[in-house]
Amino acid sequence: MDASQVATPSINTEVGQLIKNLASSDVDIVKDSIGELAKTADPRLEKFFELYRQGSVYNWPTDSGVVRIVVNEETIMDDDFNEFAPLLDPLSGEPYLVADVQAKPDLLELEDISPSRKLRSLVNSSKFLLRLFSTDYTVRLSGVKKCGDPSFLPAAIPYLEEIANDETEDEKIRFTAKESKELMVLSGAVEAKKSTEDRLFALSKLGDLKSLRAYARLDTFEGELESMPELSTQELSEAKASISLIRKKIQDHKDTVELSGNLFRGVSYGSVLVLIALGLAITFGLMGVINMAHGELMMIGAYTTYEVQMLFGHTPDNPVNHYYLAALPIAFLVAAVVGLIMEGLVVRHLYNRPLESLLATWGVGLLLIQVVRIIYGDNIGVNSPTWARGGFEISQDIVLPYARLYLLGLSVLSVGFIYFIIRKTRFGMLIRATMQNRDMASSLGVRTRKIDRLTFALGSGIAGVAGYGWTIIGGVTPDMGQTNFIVDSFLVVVTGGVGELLGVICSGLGIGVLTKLIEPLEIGTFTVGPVWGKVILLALIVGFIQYRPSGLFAPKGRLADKK
Amino acid sequence: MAAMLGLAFSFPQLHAVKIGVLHSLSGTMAISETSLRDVVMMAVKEINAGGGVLGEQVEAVVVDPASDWPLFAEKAKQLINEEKVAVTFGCWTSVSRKSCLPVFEEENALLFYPVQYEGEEQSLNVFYTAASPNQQLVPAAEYMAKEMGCKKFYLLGTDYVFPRTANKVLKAYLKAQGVPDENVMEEYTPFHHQDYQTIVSKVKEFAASGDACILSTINGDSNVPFYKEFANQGLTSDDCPIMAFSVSEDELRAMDVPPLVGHLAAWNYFQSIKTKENASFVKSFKKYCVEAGLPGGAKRVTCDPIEAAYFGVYVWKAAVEKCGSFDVDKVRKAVYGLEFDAPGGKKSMHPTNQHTLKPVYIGEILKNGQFKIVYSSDGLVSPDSYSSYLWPDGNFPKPTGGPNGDGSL
Amino acid sequence: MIIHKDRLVESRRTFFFICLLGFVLIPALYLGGILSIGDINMLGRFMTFAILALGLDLLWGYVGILSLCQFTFFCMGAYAMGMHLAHHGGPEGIIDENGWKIPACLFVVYPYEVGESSGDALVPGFWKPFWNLPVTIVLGLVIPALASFVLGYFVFRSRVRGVYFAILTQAIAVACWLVFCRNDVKLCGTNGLTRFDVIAPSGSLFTFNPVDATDDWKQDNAESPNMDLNKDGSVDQLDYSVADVGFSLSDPGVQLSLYLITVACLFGSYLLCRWIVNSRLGKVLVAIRDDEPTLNFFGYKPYTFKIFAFCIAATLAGLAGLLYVPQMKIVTPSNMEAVRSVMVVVWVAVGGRGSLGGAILGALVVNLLYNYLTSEHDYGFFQWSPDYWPIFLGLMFVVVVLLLPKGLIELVDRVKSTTFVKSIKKEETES
Repeated sequence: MDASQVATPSINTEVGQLIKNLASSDVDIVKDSIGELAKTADPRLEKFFELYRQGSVYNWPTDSGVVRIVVNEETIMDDDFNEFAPLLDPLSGEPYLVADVQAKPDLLELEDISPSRKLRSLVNSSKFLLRLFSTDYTVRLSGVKKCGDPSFLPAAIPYLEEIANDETEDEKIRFTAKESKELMVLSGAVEAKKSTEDRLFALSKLGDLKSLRAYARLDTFEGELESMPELSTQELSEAKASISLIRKKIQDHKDTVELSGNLFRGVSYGSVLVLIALGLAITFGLMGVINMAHGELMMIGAYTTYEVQMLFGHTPDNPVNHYYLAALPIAFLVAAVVGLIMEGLVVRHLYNRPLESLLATWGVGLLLIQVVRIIYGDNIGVNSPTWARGGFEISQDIVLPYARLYLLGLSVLSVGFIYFIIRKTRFGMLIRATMQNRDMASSLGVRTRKIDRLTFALGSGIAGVAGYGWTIIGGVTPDMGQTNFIVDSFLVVVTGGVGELLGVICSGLGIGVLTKLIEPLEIGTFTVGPVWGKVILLALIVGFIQYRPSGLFAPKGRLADKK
Repeated sequence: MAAMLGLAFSFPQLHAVKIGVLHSLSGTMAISETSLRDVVMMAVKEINAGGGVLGEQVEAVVVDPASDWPLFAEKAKQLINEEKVAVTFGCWTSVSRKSCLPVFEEENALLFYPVQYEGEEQSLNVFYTAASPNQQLVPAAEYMAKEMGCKKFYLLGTDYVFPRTANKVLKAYLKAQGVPDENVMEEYTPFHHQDYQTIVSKVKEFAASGDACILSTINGDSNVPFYKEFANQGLTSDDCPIMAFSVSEDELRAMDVPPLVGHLAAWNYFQSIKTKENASFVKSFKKYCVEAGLPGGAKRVTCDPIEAAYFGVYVWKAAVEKCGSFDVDKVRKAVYGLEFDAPGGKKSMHPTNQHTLKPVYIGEILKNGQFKIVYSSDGLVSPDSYSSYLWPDGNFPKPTGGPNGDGSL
Repeated sequence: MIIHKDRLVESRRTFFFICLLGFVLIPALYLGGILSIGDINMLGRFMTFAILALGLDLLWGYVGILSLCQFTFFCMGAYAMGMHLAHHGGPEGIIDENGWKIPACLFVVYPYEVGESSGDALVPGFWKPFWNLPVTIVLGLVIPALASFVLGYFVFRSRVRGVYFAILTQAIAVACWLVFCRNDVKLCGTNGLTRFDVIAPSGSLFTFNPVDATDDWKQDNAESPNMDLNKDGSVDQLDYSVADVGFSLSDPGVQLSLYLITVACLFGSYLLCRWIVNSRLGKVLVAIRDDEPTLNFFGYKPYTFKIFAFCIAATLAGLAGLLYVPQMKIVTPSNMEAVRSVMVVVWVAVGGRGSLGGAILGALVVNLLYNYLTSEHDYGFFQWSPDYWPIFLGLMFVVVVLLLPKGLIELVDRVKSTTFVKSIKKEETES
């Protein structure tokens, strides 16, 4: 017996033979085999078809020319950078063993059997059909959805009906199955239900489902009806009336989704702004230091997260998700220490010269950027923990991404933490005393130097936490502080009113929500979009500062005595 | 003046021909451009090990224009006038090329430019070794429309010249293919844009019909938040595939790849091209990075601009050897129509328009940050310096620069 | 807070320094073959930065207002000149239906509406006034002055001060940068204005549009053999690159002249600033810096003086921009990124805040260093890599702020000022 057959018993089955046929040079045999495979409803085949479509399925013929179907997705390199292709079994996905070790031939030994262009769409639709039988929730959901997307798969209708009527099945999947089925009827893809009445009936069902997918097809459908010669004027206008009724129905739903979506996005963006401005609210707001290196402290937090990830060995394939929780306190500490050093060397000389502190901290920022760039040489990819991918569908069509929810929580937590420290602890009381009247505090025995140092470290640490949080939604580069954060965070603090925590929260959330409400606005043919949105927002803030030169809440603390 | 100070400290080498390397090593573009400096240095090392060019060793003069466009012109002047380089390899962004172009034209010097760009330029003092729009954009759009069956197109880009011009070409192409205007959306974000929530929700609405795709010219650091948000709002490459024109292996190295898996990119070269030549190119690049102690070391990858920068040096060498001289005008004539072997396969220079004939590939992003090639063009695609979609009458502007300074040869 | 009092009366030293260095020494070095025309060109550009720094020094050093959008005003002047030069620019570009040439830099990125094609592109109306050179110069000065007046009027009246003003101006710088990067504002997007060819052709001096310019030129050259406008007659408009008019920007003589004009402007700006500082007005300005509430109490309206100083600074920035473009031959939105304006502050701080000579010195020194340190250098014992430049710059900020609060100029004339400061200190103690 051939070694490969021992290693991969699945090849001996009927499915195995069909798969072997894919290596045939006869297009008809390949085509028939694909059709047969799709009919088997074997859940293992879904993944196989995905790989087959992608071109990751190969024939690795033995020396005697026996067909061996294998899978290779990614190649590996040895220490001398020679490239090899580790092989996998096409059905089980386990390593493809030859003599008990995974086969790793040279890539050039593999024979490409990827489907020809003509067969691609067939492979694709077979893939979606097979997904209906998958045991994985997300795969099944995507199969149920894709069957009802163009180009439609009427062959799936019996299965879809089965799924839709299956009481034990997940609600979302059942809903999507119904939707997909009706969408196919609506599009006229189902031979048995091609009449206009049938299609209108399907549409009314979709209206009841408040299907956004149907909404996207309304125009096409209406256009199709108009070009139908067999419809009388009366019928046409009736059909149109019912379409516009349904359009209105779904439109209401869509408006709700959009509005609540925009509000959530605004709050989420606002929470990010609050988070990035929070550290600055302490160093700038309370202490009066124009800390232009604030963004770089965030960058330090982000790079610390990266280092912690490396330390835990987290990769997408081999997730060690708790690295992300461990990184939170570490990022805080590292950034706080950097802040402490910065305070000791530079900032402490500049408490009375705010404008000069701007220059010096800018210099420190440049220095930090370049040092990080020299060490890491490049930007780096922080891999988010796997739970941060995807979102939570709170009601039909309103998805709240987990990453955003986490950030929202993180910023609530950080605000709470700062509030607690400043308002409820003795340390916080000393901070307030020192910032409001340094001389008096000093004469009462407060060691103001130490308080300064610790306050600055606290602000820096919170900046580090912001950088840590940022990695879950954004990229990490050495100059991320300068390009992304510094202007925004100062604007938030200044708008909110220097020295007032509540001001930062209000202005951060306000700016966030306002941005997200302005961005999608359409005035005539002009869509505001992100660029003009940002310009308009900046203009609004400039206008607002005219109106309230000291922000939402008047400043207290050191800055109030000075200017 | 400053250059003269520098000159006082450098040691002249006998029997060496100087070439200039004009890539940003600091500032925002350093992330992309340092790799090109590295690969040019590697090519120089290889050439020197093989006996140099016309019996002379090649000495590379490296300067840092620091991602500062005016400084590109400054450094170009320094390379040409003070260092007397025979040829310069450099630039990444269009604006940096535009900034030093007058210098190359005034001095009648030669620049090899290795990055895909928006076209609409043809200077006799520049050889463009990367793609012009018709070698990347149009085949990709065609792939989406014909192979993927997409009927709706969302053109999304960073707001600068390449995406603007690229989308102009794409829109003209799609119109010619009979795609109605309402099925084409266009949207731009500022540089370094980070919050893609609104845009992704719009995409979601646009793609609800199930036959939409995104043609993305998003640049640099904005890609990370974009793909992350895309995945987080529950969209996948099945719902709405993204075809990217500015995401290569080198950029993927710096990204959280899982959200990108299954999406596409169009280039003229991928590291995963399966030929012996390419395998040895990848191997020697990695070895070079390890031996030179460069950051990243063995994790370094090759990509389209890296290949273009690399073979640019060899094109110059071949042309010099063909004409037996370092003289710019002779070398220029020798480059026209030159056929050569690049790591990604045989290519050739266009006989007149300064650009390069290249194959087109479309790749699907894999988990390991490499591409699975899912489409390759039949043979080489001829470059358009000016897009025929923007100049339908074919009445292109004259070339500029050259020996007489007026675009004549 | 009384600092820099010794600089209230600007010495004559800077005056002679500019004359000697700018008008005599550098041109002499050029004629002697030691400096190349490229160096002259570069120094000319750095001199425009010195003008920019002068404006900021007046504002920050004397009035105590830190503006972080000076490069935005600079770009207003620069874009004015850029549009002017583009009108008369190189051979590429196409003629629109009104007979205006759409320069290549604009044409490539022209934002068509859906359904429009290249034939529908038009030179935007706001480009047209910049055809004429005198108008361009006036607009290049008036636009930043007006913008700063409007901004200053609102901001200073509502008593936005200090840090708030700095942050506000930075926000404005970012907003303007975003707008200039847009293609739909028809300012050529991020690639900026480029492909300039000639300056001051006769058509740009006496006419206001290309049609008149072409007619004029035809009249003047009726007998000339060059009468066929573009030799092949393909374009029926005057093409400067073919018709030999104006001063080519790549001609060394023209570059030297531009350099000399720049030095003269720097000299003039310096005189203006010195006059302001030394007058009674200057004393009010310093009083605003040192104790605004008291000044208010005396019945002055500080905001009018602030607006005045802000406008002067902006106009000088515009002037610098006008002079910069013909020497750089490209202007892009990257010139107005927020970081750039912070750099101006650095020049002033390094040179010496509150000293006009210091501002000039700072602008020249920092830029020369920047240019020098962004190349590789081998000093035998030490290998300088361009990578180190930002670290050097960062350290320079810190050192200057902490150890040299009055900047380099302090080192230059320490001997001279010691006696001066002593006498002032004496006065202080007496009073």
